[in-house]
Amino acid sequence: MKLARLMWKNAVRNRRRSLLTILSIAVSIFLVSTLEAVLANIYRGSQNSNTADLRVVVHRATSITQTMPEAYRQRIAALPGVRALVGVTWFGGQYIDARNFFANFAVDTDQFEKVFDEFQIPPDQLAAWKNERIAALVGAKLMDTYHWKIGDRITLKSPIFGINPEFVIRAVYRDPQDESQERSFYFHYDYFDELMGRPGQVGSFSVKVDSAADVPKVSQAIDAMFRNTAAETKTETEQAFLLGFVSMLGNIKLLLTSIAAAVVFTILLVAGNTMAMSIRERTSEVAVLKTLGFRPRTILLLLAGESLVIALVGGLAGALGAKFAYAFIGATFNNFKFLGGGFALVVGGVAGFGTWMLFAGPTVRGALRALRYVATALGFAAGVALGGAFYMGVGFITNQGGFLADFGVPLATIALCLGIAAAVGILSAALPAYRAARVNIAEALRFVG
Amino acid sequence: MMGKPVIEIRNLSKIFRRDSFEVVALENANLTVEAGEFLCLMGPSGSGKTTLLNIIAGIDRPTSGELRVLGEDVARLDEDRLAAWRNAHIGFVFQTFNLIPVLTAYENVELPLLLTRLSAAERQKHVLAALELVGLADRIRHYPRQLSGGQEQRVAIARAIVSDPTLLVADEPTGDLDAHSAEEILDILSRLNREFKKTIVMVTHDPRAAHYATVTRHLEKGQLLPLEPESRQVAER
Ligand SMILES: Nc1ncnc2c1ncn2[C@@H]1O[C@H](COP(=O)(O)OP(=O)(O)O)[C@@H](O)[C@H]1O
Ligand SMILES: [Mg+2]
Repeated sequence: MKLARLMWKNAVRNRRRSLLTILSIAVSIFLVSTLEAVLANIYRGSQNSNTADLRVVVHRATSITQTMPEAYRQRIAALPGVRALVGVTWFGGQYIDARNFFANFAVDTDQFEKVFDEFQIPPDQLAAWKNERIAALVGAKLMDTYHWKIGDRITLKSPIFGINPEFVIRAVYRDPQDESQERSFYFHYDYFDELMGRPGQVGSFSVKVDSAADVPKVSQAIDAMFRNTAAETKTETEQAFLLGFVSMLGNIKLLLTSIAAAVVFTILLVAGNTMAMSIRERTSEVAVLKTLGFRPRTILLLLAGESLVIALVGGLAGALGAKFAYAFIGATFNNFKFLGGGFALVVGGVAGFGTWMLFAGPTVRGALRALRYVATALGFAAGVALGGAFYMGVGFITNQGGFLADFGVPLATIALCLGIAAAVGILSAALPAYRAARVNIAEALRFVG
Repeated sequence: MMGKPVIEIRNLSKIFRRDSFEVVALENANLTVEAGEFLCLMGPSGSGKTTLLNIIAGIDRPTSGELRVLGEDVARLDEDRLAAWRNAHIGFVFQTFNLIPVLTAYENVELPLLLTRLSAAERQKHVLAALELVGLADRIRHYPRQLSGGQEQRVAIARAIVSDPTLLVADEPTGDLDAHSAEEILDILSRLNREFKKTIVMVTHDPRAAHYATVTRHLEKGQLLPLEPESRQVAER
């Protein structure tokens, strides 16, 4: 496009202002990418499994932390439409200490592969797991994290139940649909129940039904069967169950979305103000362009395009910055923590550069010049401190055993953030550009000389 | 005199209204400019020169009266058409040059051509020819701030003629220049008038400028004074 050059030259005409705008958009989009990625990572597990559609979860109606009698197993199994079921009890065991967090469950082994049929388990390993009381079935990713091998003996300490059972790893599963599921640890319910003194209590049942039509029918039948007992149940699809689990964490989605919206609104104000200033300064130039024959809509395009360029550069830097930052932390935190120093230096560099640019200008001399050096040094130091703290904080949350293990910024989030940046770019320029495009040439030119 | 009139103005008035204020900038002006003329508009500050020029060039609209420029009833064109018309037929030279500071001399001159269908190669040919004509072929990569005032105004003239318009309008083109540069600019305009047959309307305070014009008209308090018979002259060749 012939006007691209003019658009570009306008975008970079005031280097200081453009760079600071780009920087603030980049930081904001970094935050938005992070929030969106947290949401995407939380919801990921609950959304992309197809086979889970035919699986319902039975838990106590009052709270998912309460248990129910194991005798429910036979009664549920007898219902029409039920293909298989597995009792699943959250064990909450810790490996060595509390920092090593991963999901571990006491399960019924006999029908396990029929209920969790998306898991791929070598048949000999499956048999070995079923045949040994203390055997464990472990996700491939979890195996990698702790460099475990088949045959390793693992002790888990459960503060919830007050027992520290020992297990031996006999089988490894994979979940090709969703690798994030390969982080659980399954062992025999029987073994657990015996160590506990045979209380016969189960946390939940995962039930595989025959067809999609059976999902509501079986769910209703189960809940009806246990109505008015001491342990009433609530049966829902696994997806609904997981989402319920998520919303139990304080409706994180709403919280994160509103924070992201506030951040976006703030950059819109900042960018809008900057664009308005930048365009108003150029009213006479716009009048000259109009004199030469540029139509109002061409002017609009030119100014909106300029703002779009700035916003997209900032958005791209922020979103890709987030992607690489989290990938870098994920790749280095466990084994190369010293590289966090490099990360902190980079953040310090960006902060220092921003401060340096803030004080740029032809009149920077004498005391102002000294102030500029001091401010830049402070900006750099603050950036290093912040970057280091960020590295460690994110590292702990997202490291292999952490709450958001395998945390990453999905491509969809990057696309969303670029869309947000583009919208900010266009919206922030819309009003001042519209005004400029309609400016009265003769009046605007009167104030030139 | 020679050919059909480029500009025909009958009873043209322009009144600026602001709140309760009313300024009569131009009152019942009558003017005919023939093809090939170099008209010089003179008069004290605030007499309505710029207003008249702007209306002729299609960047302002009259309050009443008739106006034909290059046969077009300019006042009735909508904004988009008017823009296209200016782009095709009118070249502008301003007192303050009004180059775009972020563009090089070459890019400034190319601006009007960006709105045409010309290919990049054709545009280049025209831009270089225009810069050659004003004697700045060696300054094409310079930015406005790297040029002297006289050079900036020459770039502005190149920009005004690059699309080969019929009519050039110039509002005090020498107002911000030293005597020597002013002379250069007037020489170029005169040459454009004589050699390239451009019709030119120029507003000026500069008494020397009148010397280059074929006709001089005076404005006073919004009144275009009648043509004095001896003022239509042939500029010395
Ligand atoms: N946009 C405007 N609003 C109000 N008054 C104006 C406007 N433009 C011009 N005028 C008035 O019209 C008169 C003529 O102005 P102008 O044509 O600029 O004079 P000149 O160019 O001869 O100095 C002046 O009194 C000026 O104040
Ligand atoms: Mg004037």
